[in-house]
Amino acid sequence: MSLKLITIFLIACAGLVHAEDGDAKLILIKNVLNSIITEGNDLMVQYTLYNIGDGAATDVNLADSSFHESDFELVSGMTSVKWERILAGTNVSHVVIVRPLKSGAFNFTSAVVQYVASEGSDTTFGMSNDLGELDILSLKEFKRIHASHLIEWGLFGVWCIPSIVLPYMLYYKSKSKYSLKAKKN
Amino acid sequence: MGFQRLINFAFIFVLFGGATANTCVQPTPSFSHYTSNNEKLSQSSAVVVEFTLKCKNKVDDLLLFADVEGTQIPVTKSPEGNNFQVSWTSSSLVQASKMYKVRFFDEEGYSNLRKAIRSSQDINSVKELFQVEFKHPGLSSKLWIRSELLALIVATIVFYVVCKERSEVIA
Repeated sequence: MSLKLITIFLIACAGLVHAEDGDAKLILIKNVLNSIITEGNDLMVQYTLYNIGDGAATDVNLADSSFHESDFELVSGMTSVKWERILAGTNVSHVVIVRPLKSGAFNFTSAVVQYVASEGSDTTFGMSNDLGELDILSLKEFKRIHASHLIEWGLFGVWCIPSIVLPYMLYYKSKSKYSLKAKKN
Repeated sequence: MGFQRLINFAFIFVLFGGATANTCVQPTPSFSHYTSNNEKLSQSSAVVVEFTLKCKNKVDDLLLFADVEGTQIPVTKSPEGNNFQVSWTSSSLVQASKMYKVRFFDEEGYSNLRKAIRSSQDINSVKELFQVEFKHPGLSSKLWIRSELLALIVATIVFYVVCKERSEVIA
């Protein structure tokens, strides 16, 4: 009887230990938060890591080297970061802000993550989705659409003044003459 | 005599064990923050806080967690371990300017925080390692009227005045 209980207890313990030692599996999603990407304006890139495995991922390193210094200026955030641990069933996110230096189409490629899936195993590599070619608007194009055009409207008003004011002056002159005549009468 | 030695040894062991605990003594952060809140570019806003930490003791592999408005976020590190970053996004823009208070916890503080949350206690009662505060400017003040609308209003006024004068003449 006691031997049976001990056996059941040991099997239960083994089962418990085994369940906690599952492998981690990370999915990396790279996402651009901007609806418009413009040269000279900030671009927000968000990386989200989801652990869909059974165990915690340790020594997680995320690196994105697609933003070269010749094409982008790093405004805020680090492009290479690490987390000590990402527990099973949790997610973490990371934001990097860059500023495009050139306009035109740009191919946004994947970021890379490497992590240790379970204790003692080798490093696992993963890549994020690549966003493909996205169009970076030039600053001139962006201002044409979105800047407030007060100066343009002001100039328009100035050019309208001759064609409105001159006839009005003529009318005003004749009106004042006519009114004087009516008053006289 | 042997027993006394054992006690001494245990005491020294505990002392050493305590000294190499992975926590930062007298943390002095130097931080910079970035807020993105441009409605022409995006409907989401992002906040990034980067900092380096000076501790009185030498700490390897410091593990930090941040608490921002009730949400706990793990703090990321640079590969060398000197620079830290916390970042979060929100799906809507921040309308009015506000102050952000970010509290940072080490592992022990974080487990205390989790315990407080589970037992529905006030999370402000948990002592943080340090905190940073900064202002989010909100949506920058902009012109209330678009220039096109202003032009339309001026044109309408001029048109009304002219029509009135014309009707007086005709009548």
